[in-house]
Amino acid sequence: MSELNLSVLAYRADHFHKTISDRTRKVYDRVASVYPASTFFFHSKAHRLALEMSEIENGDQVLEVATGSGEMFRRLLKRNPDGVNVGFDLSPNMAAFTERRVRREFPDARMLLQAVDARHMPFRDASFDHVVSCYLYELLDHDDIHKTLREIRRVLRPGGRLTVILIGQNDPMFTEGYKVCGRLVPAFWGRLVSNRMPGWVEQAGFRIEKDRSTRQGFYPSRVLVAQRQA
Amino acid sequence: MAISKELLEILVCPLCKATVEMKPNGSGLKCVQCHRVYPIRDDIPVMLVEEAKVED
Repeated sequence: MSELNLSVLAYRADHFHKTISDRTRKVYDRVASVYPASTFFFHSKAHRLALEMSEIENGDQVLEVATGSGEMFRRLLKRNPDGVNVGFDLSPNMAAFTERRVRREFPDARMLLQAVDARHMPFRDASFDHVVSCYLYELLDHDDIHKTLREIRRVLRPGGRLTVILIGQNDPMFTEGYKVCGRLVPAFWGRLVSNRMPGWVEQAGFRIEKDRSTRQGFYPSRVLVAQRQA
Repeated sequence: MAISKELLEILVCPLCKATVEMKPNGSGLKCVQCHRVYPIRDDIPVMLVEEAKVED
């Protein structure tokens, strides 16, 4: 954490809308090597639940949007060793960190990690059976959430499934604490969106099939599985 | 960097969605339509429009 540039982190909330993408990339470029710890303590239970709910089968073509430090991507490689696993992150440093980490563990995997802006995905239409994204939408503004969902729909085959993990909003104390963090460091924390996501996902051409909540310590998560409508 | 044929087949230019081809020296992926070259750094294709350079 010593190399963190605080001037990048401490950014005013009223600038959130215009600059989140660029700021988020810079912040996550800097925290790439220490990010796995927070994922281990707060996200691993939800990752397991999401994988179980996703119905991903060995041999599928799977895309993870915003791989972060690769905790979920490693789980995807274990579950889908004979399939194709593609992942990306907006931060090139984070994507490179994850590539090195998972390549050591899975040297022969059919996988590709890239640096990609989720609003402009470099994949052909209907390339994937499943798309997974974990704790991403909190960091995107309203327009970018809709652009990202449209791109996910485009790259999913008809009938394919989107599995989303969100930070839960079912604990008032956690929600209030998160609001404070989000105001202080919006590019890292973003803001909570899980109450509004089911509506936005359906608006983008999906049907919500599963919706479950879980908790790891004080940290609430919500998992949605949605099917792409034709 | 080597990208398998099956993975290269699903990749397109993020801007114009046209086919991309690996440059002969493996340094990047070039769009056949807009001629943007997306660099490959640390074995990672950087498919960000702002990082691409247009080449003839």
